[in-house]
Amino acid sequence: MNFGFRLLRALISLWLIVTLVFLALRATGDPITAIFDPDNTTQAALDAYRRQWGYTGSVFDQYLAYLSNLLHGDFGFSSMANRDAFSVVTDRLPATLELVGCSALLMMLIGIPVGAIAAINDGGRIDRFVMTFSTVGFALPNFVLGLGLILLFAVNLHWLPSNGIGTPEHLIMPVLTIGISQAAIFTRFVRSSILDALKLQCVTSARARGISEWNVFWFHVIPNALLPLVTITPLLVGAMVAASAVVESVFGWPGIGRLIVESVAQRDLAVLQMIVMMIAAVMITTNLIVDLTYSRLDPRTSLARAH
Amino acid sequence: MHAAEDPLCKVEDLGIAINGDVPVPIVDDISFEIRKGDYFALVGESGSGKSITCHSMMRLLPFKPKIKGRIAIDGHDVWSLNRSKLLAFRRKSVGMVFQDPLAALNPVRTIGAQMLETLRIHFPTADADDLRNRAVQALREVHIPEPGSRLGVYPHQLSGGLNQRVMIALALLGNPKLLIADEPTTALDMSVQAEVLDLIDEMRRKNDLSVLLVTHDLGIVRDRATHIAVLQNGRMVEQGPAASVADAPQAAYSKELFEASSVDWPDRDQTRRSREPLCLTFNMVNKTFFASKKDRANGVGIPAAKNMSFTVRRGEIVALIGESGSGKTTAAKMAMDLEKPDSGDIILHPSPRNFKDPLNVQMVFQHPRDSLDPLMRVEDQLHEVLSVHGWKDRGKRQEHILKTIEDVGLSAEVLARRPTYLSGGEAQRVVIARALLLEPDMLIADEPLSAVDVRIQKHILECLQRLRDRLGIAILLITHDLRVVFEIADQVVVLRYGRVVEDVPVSMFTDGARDEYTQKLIDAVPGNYDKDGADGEKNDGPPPAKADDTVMMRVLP
Repeated sequence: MNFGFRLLRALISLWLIVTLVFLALRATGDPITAIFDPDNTTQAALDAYRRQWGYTGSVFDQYLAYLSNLLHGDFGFSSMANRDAFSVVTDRLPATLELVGCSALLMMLIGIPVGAIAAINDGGRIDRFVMTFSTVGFALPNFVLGLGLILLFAVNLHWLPSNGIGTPEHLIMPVLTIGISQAAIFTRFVRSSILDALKLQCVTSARARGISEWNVFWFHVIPNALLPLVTITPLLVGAMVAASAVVESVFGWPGIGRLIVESVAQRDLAVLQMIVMMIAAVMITTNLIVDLTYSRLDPRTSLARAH
Repeated sequence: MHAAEDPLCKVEDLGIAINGDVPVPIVDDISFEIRKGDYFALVGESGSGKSITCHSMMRLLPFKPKIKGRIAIDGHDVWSLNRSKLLAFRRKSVGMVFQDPLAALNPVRTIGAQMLETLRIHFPTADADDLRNRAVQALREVHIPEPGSRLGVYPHQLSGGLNQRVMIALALLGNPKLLIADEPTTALDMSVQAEVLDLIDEMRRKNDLSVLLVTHDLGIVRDRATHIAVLQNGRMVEQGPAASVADAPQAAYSKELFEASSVDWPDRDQTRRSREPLCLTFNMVNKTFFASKKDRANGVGIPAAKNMSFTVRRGEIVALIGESGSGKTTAAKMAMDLEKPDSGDIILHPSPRNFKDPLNVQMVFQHPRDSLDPLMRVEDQLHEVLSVHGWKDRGKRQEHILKTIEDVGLSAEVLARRPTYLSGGEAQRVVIARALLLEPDMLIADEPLSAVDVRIQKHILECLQRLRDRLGIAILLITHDLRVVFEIADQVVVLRYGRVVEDVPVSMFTDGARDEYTQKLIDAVPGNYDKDGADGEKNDGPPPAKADDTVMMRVLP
């Protein structure tokens, strides 16, 4: 499969999601009466809003208008912020990217070495210790971990600010909260895929040729262990975005996650719709990148497809 | 140093157990010696501990072992070497070749990368060009055609035979004194098997190697080894010079093993086919597989059947033989209507027992365990087959099942077990029984023997033969093993790249093969090998192995 085909497939997924968002919002009833209390708003005003946001005519007409608006870059109007939804969401995006990016980095910094060490000591004391801790790590809900950190570092020790954004100190606790829980899962994945790779016959045969353990590990174990790890990356990115909704609320972090909570509470459908589409776009892009990486990493897949 | 007297490899009272609270013994009391120039064969069935023994000689066990006794190779006490000495020992003293070359080579790195990595160890000061030349030279040594262009390819782009050659080249890069070959041909096609074994012979003579061959295939051993040791359940039951062990085995177990593996060249009276009613007719059947739509449009495909014609008659065992990729399995699938032919006719004739009924065909698959549900008791799986086909009365079903289980030579107590608790042979007979429940007119058996040990093979062959004789069932037997063919087949159909190159009664099969490929198959039968050449008394030795370039051409663009 070539790049163009994959891109087309990604675009089709995006279109399907946009359509689903449209249907979901329509299925929950008249959005105008959901946003504005009909008892306190005049009929003329409601009609005006309907016209303004394209809620007139048949559902199909509305759908076409909605698609055409999206294609023209019009993502609706935020009732909450009183400006266009697109800018409301993009304003919050950098904060979340910073949070998720740093968390992902922490996840890998913990997960890869710890998972590898656990795998090499399979069944040993270190391995059991790591496995126990990873169970605790992902069994612990994010808000508990987050509140625990606040209690310790902000309330008791006064080392770190409990709330807000701006300095590196602000970043530490939210990143720890997401990073640790994701690292707990990632460590297990790293451990099991390295364990699988260690059992491969080609590893035994490399050892039989007298290749040093270090080189066996880097040139024979790791390349084979990477394949399953790459496959689960989109899953983890999705989990981190989901975690950010809770964690950003706990730490007052002004990102997309908190925006989801706010827009649901305020019934700001345009913003919610924008966020859903953006998360979908991020997931689709991640999948696309993973697909392409995979065929680079595993010559068997790229060749089978080239034929 | 008493180089002339000291054996190259000496294993004394070796015992290996899996270390734990209660050590689980795997092998015990194993002693043998390999001298310079010996071709030592370690034989036994699966689970006999032969692989564990040879892996322990390089300290490559997949678990933490508890070792008793002593292994000394090339002056090293293997299990007391420290880390760096162990590396040096693995680099210089012993080379190892594994069962499945595709698995033993790293799938995500090129052949060249893996060779250069090993060469760099042996020639740390050599520059890139020098290393490359050495790699090409090593591939040339093992008769890989166009060695220069192979460095950039990945293992999956080469055929099994070529990969095993690469493995051998890799194992010999450090000029080891001992080559351990762990079932080196089990994963390969029969005619390629012979080529790989010839190559090992050639390398042994050229490089003054000793060889330790681990195998379950006694045919190979009889032909080539100088010494044989037989393992059973982790203990050595017999060892000695090859000729005496193979021709006059002493231990009861080795007797049984060698008898089960002997080749009975066909010697039958009837050279004419029976006039029994036809069961299955293939008439000018064509089928081509395409890897992609583009290939289909360009007409570049892999032919699985080209004007394929043959017939199977009632009470007849027709062997369909050929290498992997020759279209055997596709033919079976088309006969079962699991795959549609592109053109031509596949006729399932009316049942010979009652011409109003359609022919009842059942299939037996290669891996018995994979074709049984691991969670269901055998009994329930057999009942299920019958109840799907409308047998309502449980009592009648039970009666029929008991009768069928007896037909395949099993006792009723297997019924209560789950497949995990069946041996390989029992599982395969349960699968056959399951196919027989519906009283078929014809059985299609796709490599029914390749997953079971040689002694069990004998039992299953007898079972099939009995069914044919008693119930008059026609059997289409797909196999790559000529030994099986000689044992029970009536008619032999040889396939090559989807073409029928031979279709003769088995008694005529060996006299003057009409087809070059058939001759190659016959030559590849273990026992058909000129041993004088192997002993080095003749200087020319076996001819340089022909590379299976046809296979390569299919894979390489």
